[in-house]
Amino acid sequence: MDEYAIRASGLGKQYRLRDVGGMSGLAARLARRFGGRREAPATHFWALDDVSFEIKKGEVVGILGHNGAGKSTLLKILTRITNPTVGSASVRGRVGMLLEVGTGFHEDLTGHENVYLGGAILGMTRAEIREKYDDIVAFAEMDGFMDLAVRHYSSGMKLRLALSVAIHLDAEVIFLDEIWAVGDHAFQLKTWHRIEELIASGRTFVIVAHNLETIGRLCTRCLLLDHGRLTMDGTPAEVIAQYRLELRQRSRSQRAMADSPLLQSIDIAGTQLMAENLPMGDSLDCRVTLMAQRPGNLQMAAMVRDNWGKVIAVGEGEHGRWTQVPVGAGRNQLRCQLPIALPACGSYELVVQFAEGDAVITTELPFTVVEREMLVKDDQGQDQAVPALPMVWEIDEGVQGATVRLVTSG
Amino acid sequence: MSVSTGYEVKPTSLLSREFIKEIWFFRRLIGLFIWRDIIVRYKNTLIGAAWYVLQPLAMMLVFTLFFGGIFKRYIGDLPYPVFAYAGLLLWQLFSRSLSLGSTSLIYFGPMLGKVYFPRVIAPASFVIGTLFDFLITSVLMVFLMMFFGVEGRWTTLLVPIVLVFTLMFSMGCGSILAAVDARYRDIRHAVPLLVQVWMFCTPVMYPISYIPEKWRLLYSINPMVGLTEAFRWMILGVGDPPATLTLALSATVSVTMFVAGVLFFQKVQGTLVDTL
Repeated sequence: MDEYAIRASGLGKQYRLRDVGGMSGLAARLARRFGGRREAPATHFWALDDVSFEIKKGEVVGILGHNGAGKSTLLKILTRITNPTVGSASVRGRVGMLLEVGTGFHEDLTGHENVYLGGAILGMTRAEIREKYDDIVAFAEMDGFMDLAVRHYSSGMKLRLALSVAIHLDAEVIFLDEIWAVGDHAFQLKTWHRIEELIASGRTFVIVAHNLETIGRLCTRCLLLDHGRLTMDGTPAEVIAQYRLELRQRSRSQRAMADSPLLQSIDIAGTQLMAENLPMGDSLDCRVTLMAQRPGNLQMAAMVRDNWGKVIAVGEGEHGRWTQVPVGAGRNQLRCQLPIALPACGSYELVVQFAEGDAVITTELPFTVVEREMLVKDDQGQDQAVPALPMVWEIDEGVQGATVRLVTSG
Repeated sequence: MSVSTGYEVKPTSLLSREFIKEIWFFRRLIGLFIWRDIIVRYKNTLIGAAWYVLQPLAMMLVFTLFFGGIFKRYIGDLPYPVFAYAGLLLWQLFSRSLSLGSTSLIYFGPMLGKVYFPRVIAPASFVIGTLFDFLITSVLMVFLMMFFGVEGRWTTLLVPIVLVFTLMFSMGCGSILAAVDARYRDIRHAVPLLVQVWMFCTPVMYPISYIPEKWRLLYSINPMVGLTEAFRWMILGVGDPPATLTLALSATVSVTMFVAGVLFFQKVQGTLVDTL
């Protein structure tokens, strides 16, 4: 156990923020050099700053941190996707990656061909893929579809197959980033079961996740990143507690700074999503509990951000995105429903905002959209998986109030 | 430490024994990418391979129509269409491999951001893959020679030497252009123009004897000059045998460019994805 699997010393990664809208690249550089025109120099920032740690063989390490804390930069460096600006790292053992699955799949190739291509990209030998081919197909539940071009697959099928290839790579060190957003609930359970098996068999894992329950359950150790720096290294319980504390402090300091007596007087006791795993097409259901010391009119808004922090949907309120909510002194329970039509499965964040005047405070709630799909026949009579939406038939005339949920297949 | 048992991460990746080992480990990937591109290309086109013959064929017809008369006296008895097509055959290999090599990172971009393999595999698989197109276009060369009654020569067996130098040269140029393009997008717009001008500076539609004697050495710094001349001598016996200063110069420039290109690419490969 004393042998290390990953050792990072002084890792740092600097990125350039290019000024947007100006001249690009070479032209700007030439203009700076010869034109005498003053342009703002490109600003640099450290996405990762002097990070050192050692992970022993068999450890399961979770990495926590806010959006932009440097989690994915760290993974990209450890998996050699990009090189660090300073520092070095050493990884011992065969490396597997479950970062963004579906890498290297080509739409025009069949599922069968793509398994071989995808496997080779991940570093599998031909013999290895051949040996595991049946398992890969069975795990992905793709039997009978393997001679079909991938372009005819649904997004869920593609992801299942890609994940199945990746998960069958016999790796000793595995980097994992939010992959449970693949497939339906049953498939996710199966994936987790497989990951737990791998953990039990002594593989080293580095896991990046928003889902604190998962981290707490699986990991033996956690690292906390903040603004590119490693701020804590300890047991999952300690680090998760610290991370939760930071989240609370952040919104509290935000609140203290807010120029609004009402906002300063409230304490958001709890913001909670009714379900963290949402089948595609379902509504987001969020409960907010807040304590107010005085009554007042609070403005509320909600929006959805994707994994990269980009706003992709906004709830429409009474005035633009804001809705006025009267709160009373004491405990207030609010409920917000947002029918989502999110374009793809994956991790998202619901951002709930409270405002009075110009002062705004926010809370963020991570959630995951999972696939719900059904097979239907296309023009050529071939099975094709399409997204399934929850549908309700209501009988207008006849037995009043009878509700029929449409259940169909094929 | 071999690839399958771990690796080191450092700010810059330099050419080392690990690099060679790694290329060897991932060698099959080059073949797979080539295979993928061929399959994909033929799956989606109606006449598939014919497109690759059509381009040099059309160019040959245009050249014959407009320049055939002008250059006829420089090439002796050889029918001009055969002469021009032979030049275009090699030129096509060079220009395609150069432009594909220099745009390879654009094509591979999304994949490079998600998974690691030696980045040089991207330009390499594109460059080597053009050999397949070369084989297909060569078939028409054989037909043309039969049609015009030009006899085959044993020196044709030497052609692989020319191909190796041509691909080394385009690999060298292509990887530099690809790496620079990752930073400055200007390259992708400049390459088509570069290729076009370059063709006129290479004896594709005319023989080297068309160039005045005093300019020839300067002219031959372009390695495609010596290679095209050698190629045509090998398959058609036209021009001087290639054991001359021109070919030596071409070979030297090609190899130098190859080494410089791969070294440059290797130096910047670690951070290519940051600007892609």
